[in-house]
Amino acid sequence: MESFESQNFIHAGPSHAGMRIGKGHDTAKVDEAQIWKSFKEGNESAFAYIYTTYFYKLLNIGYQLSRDKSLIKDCIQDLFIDIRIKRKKLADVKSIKLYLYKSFRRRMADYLQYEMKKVDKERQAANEHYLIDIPYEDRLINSQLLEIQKIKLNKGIMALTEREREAIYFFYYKNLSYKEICDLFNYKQVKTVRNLVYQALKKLKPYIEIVLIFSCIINN
Amino acid sequence: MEYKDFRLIDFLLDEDFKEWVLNPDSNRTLFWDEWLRAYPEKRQEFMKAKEIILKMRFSEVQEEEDFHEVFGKILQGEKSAAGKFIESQKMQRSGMPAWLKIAASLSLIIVAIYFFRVSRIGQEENNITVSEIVKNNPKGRKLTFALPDGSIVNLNSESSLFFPETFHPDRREVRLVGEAYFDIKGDSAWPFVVIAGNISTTALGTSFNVRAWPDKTTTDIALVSGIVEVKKINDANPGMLLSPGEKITHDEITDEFTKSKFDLALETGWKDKILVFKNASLGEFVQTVERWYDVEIELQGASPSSTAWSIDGEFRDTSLEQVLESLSFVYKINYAINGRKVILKF
Repeated sequence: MESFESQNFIHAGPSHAGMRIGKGHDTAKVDEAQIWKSFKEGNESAFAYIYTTYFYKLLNIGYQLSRDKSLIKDCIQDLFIDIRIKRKKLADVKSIKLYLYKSFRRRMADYLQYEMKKVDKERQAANEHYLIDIPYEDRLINSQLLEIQKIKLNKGIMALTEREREAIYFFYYKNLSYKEICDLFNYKQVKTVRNLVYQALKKLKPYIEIVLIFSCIINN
Repeated sequence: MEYKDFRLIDFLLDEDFKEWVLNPDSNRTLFWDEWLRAYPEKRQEFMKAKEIILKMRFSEVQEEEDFHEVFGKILQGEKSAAGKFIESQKMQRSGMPAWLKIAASLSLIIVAIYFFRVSRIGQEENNITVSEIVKNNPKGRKLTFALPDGSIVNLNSESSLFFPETFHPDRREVRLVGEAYFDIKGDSAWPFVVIAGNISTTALGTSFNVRAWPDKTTTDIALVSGIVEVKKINDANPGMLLSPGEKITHDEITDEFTKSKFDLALETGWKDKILVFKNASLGEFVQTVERWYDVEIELQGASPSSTAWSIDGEFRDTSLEQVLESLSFVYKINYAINGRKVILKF
């Protein structure tokens, strides 16, 4: 039995039988449908499990849409308050992940609109940071070259539409399938998602080439 | 498309390829290794695609502070200013029919009256002395039962729980000697308090383990889910908050609280009939086994000091004999079980 690690623990589900220690990535083998059911029946452990598993994931999905962390946190807070209040009436779901991602994205759209009205454009511009990050292992190698890589790739990512950027984020970074993204975006056809990723990759191509040249230099 | 016609972009768009790069399992590794052997001319593009996928990293935030802050607010149930504003706007836009508005305010009044009644009844009940119930476990027995409010308690052996027949309308209070695991029925407006020794633990919809053996000078509280507040009973100041995965230990002698991370199985395994040892010394082993199986252990021969040994193990619903068998396997000792007497020979 492993011991808890900070932030990465997942405690047992409602029966306390399916104990599992989780890492950040979606390798969950727990029965989400069952956990969701216990949550609906009022089990607080199930709720805590859901919150613990998805808080950082939602925070970072929101972080790709806005750099206003307090707005994202508000949105997560209100989402969870709502599902707690309405828990008995919620539909059964197979994947808590998709349910939360979907409700959260829909909700974030409202919150962003609200924020747009409040905040002037200048402050928003000042809020923009790098959208991409460099893998930690690489970061140790050569900071100057990596800085260039980062700027380049970031430029590329910035050139994408919001949808394309999200598609890339969910497909390559969150490792969702085309089908899952299709569901998330409410598209009718899975093909549409594939096209979206294709479009995005085409736009990224010149930037990617440069990045690859650099990483050749680094790796050799 | 045929795999032999694959270009860089095709690798990047291939779901299975991506899945393998991000989350390699042996089946896929086998497949793609084979693939590379079959089409060696594609090697460069193959490696390029792999690298690009691994480079798609996005900036992320992960601060524990945020995690706890938002969790606390959710439990309080108060929505953010942004959320309230958006909802009120939506309500206006949706144009609630006039009759529904009236109905809404009507039901509000009804609810208010109802609450008023309930709280008055509650007060009357206060004046009646509520009789106390004691659940008592001897050695070797564990007990699971529901409290008057529906909360579930797992009581360990040699432990007692005292609680009233009906809980006070303001707070649910129980007293514990020994060790118990609580799965509290959530009601943030109705605090649940466990008194163990001079330590009180207040819970809001939560499960946690309290360990306060009378023969030990420390009290342990390990939180599995929810939020609890731990403090000394007569302390007016706010106590320490625990979040899931944290454990707090109060030492009676030094009067100090220490927070640490805990091992779920080690702390709460007993309630699922799992006997867990982690770096347990001989002394701890003897004490735990005596309590668990209701036996007395006698050490014979040249026994090592009680702080020697470091025993690790998990026994799910295992007989005493099996436990001792696996111990003797590791430590080369002999054992004998005579009824409630156990002899360990060194």
